Amino acid sequence: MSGTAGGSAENTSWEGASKAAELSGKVTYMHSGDDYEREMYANVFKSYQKYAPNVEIEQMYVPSDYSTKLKTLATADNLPDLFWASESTVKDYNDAGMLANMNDMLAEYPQLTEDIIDGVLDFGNIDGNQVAFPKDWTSYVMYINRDLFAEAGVEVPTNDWTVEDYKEIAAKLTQKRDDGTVDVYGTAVNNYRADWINWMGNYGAEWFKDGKSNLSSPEALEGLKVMSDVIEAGSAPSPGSVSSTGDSEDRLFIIGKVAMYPSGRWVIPSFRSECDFEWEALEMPKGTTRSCPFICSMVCISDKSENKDIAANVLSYQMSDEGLKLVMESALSLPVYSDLMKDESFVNTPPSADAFINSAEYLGSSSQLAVSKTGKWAEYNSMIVAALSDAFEGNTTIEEAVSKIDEQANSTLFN
Amino acid sequence: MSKVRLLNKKTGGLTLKQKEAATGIGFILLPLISLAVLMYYPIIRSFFISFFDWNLLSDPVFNGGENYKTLMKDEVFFQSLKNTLHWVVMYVPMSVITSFLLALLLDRKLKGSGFFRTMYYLPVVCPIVVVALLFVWIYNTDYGILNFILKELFHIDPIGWLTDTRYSLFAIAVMSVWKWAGYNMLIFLAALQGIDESLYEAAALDGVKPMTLLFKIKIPLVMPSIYFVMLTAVIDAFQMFTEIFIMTKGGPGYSTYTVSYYLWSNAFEYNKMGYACAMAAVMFVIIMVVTLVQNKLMNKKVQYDA
Repeated sequence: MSGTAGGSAENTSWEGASKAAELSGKVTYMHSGDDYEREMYANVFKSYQKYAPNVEIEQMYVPSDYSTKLKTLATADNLPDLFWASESTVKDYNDAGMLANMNDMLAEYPQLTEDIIDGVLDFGNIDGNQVAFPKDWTSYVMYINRDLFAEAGVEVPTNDWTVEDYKEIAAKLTQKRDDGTVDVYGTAVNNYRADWINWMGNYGAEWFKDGKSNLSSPEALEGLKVMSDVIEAGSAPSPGSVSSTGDSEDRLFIIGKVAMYPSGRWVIPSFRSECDFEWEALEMPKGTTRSCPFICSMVCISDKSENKDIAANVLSYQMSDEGLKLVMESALSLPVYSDLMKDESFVNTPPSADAFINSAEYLGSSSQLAVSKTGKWAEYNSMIVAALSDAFEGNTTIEEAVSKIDEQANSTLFN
Repeated sequence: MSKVRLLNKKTGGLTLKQKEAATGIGFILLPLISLAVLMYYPIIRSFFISFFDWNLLSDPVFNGGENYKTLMKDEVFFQSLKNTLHWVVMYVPMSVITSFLLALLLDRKLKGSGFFRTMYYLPVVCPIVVVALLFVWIYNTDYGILNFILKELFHIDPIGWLTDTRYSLFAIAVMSVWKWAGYNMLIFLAALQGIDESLYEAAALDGVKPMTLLFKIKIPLVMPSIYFVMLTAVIDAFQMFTEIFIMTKGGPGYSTYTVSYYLWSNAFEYNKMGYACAMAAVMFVIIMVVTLVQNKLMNKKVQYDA
């Protein structure tokens, strides 16, 4: 990857600069996120227009209910030229013939795939055609409150810690009063796909195998049991009890009620501004192995776009060093390029970058990739959330929950 | 000139009667067109789509009655239907009785009755999102005020009001009653205050006891309002969605999934619009049957003239 700050083809190594100067027309770009991201992408587009003075980019920022709004535009045959889609919905749009094939674009802009992390392109590749491009990714790591460790006299672990260490430390960090009221939980559990994919992956589980749900496999069960074990031990609040405060686990970490919190990079901006204690990020504890879920929004180009060449040029700029630097400043996500992962201006601190850099080595899993291409991920996801919530709230056992998920999913979705 | 002749008098090519008719048609045409476009067409279209496999993105593919066949084997749908019926049976009587009792309390010449009327009606004007979030806090297992009171006063261990499958639906029903009781209360109050005073005076002269007055005079005379409230409450209850969406997202497990919530999930989360429309058609039939039965049973007891 390459590129430096500038505004003309002479002082940048972004490969699309010369072409940008020749282009003229208008494209629409639809994306989700918060107000901060809206501003961030507005800057990217403004910066792009220094190279492409005759190109107008209409930013369509959608703060909430993004997928419904995108679907509505798709149904009305009015998709924007460029838009974000989650890795699990790309197949539906592609099956409907709505996505432009990006193979030619990748050939025209080779920097787009130079040094790209292994496997990330696969999530946007359907039947050999690249129809979506991973704009960034986010690693799943364990955030720790150093002050609470010090208060409990517990040594802060290193990146080579194991699940057994994790459970033990979580128990030690939990502060319970005599009447049973918990002041501080050692850790927290999210009933969210990144959590289960991570824990199952850390035991090498093939939780989706041969086109079937396979959560009952011993490895998947062992991974999921890590989550239920810490809840049963009282070291973590059940996800239901947290959501019933109208709050979330990351808020509990921010206010010092949770000492160790597994989450993605997207929490860093709020942790930086709101945590009034020392905090750090570690790799997720190791089971028998390690696997990091691939959480990403993909950029797609509408097949109906009348300005595909402009759209491709805009995407090329967004993914250039210059464009990515504007995005990565926020620390909301990580670049998909190996060389940039080692550059502190792209993976900025705090927290230290090691956990994020290391997790790129074991990113993605065959199960996640396979299930994302079924087009049934959303429904399968709901089944898992429903059954696991029952188990996490103590209404069923985790064994009963996974057995129910497999039976239900394999008889209705993957039959 | 007689009235009939005046009406038949021609003004600008049309008789006055024709002009009046044209004006009348003009007035009802706009709401009729709105109803047709925004209500009847979507209903008919939804029924039509229920015979297709449609993910909103690709072209709909006709699949005969496949969606209905799948629905009959769908355990989550039946669980949602069971929860919905449970909700109707639990919520409607709770709501109607509470509203009626509040109306009876306010149907007196008391000082400050206007204040109480306002207070009881206040939750109705509060946005449902605000009320739901407020109750999420009240019901919180660890920090909620309800569990705090139960523990302090009765030494009852914390209850997972929204996380325990045994209580979650009931807890949401209590919140809904609190939220909507004021609305039906006003309808009942208007009906109670419409009862002719002379009936009360006659009852007092005959030495009628309060309970007899309630069951023999008040309830029979407000029966049209009870009928109306019951009918709308049942229809509303069958369509319950917002509270579930905000408070539990159908969980834990499927314990608070209602048909409306499951329908919405299929339509907008799983992209199964045809299947969701089949569900809507089945719900339409269920609500229609229940309403007709209710109509038949209650209409006999309704006395429209005092």
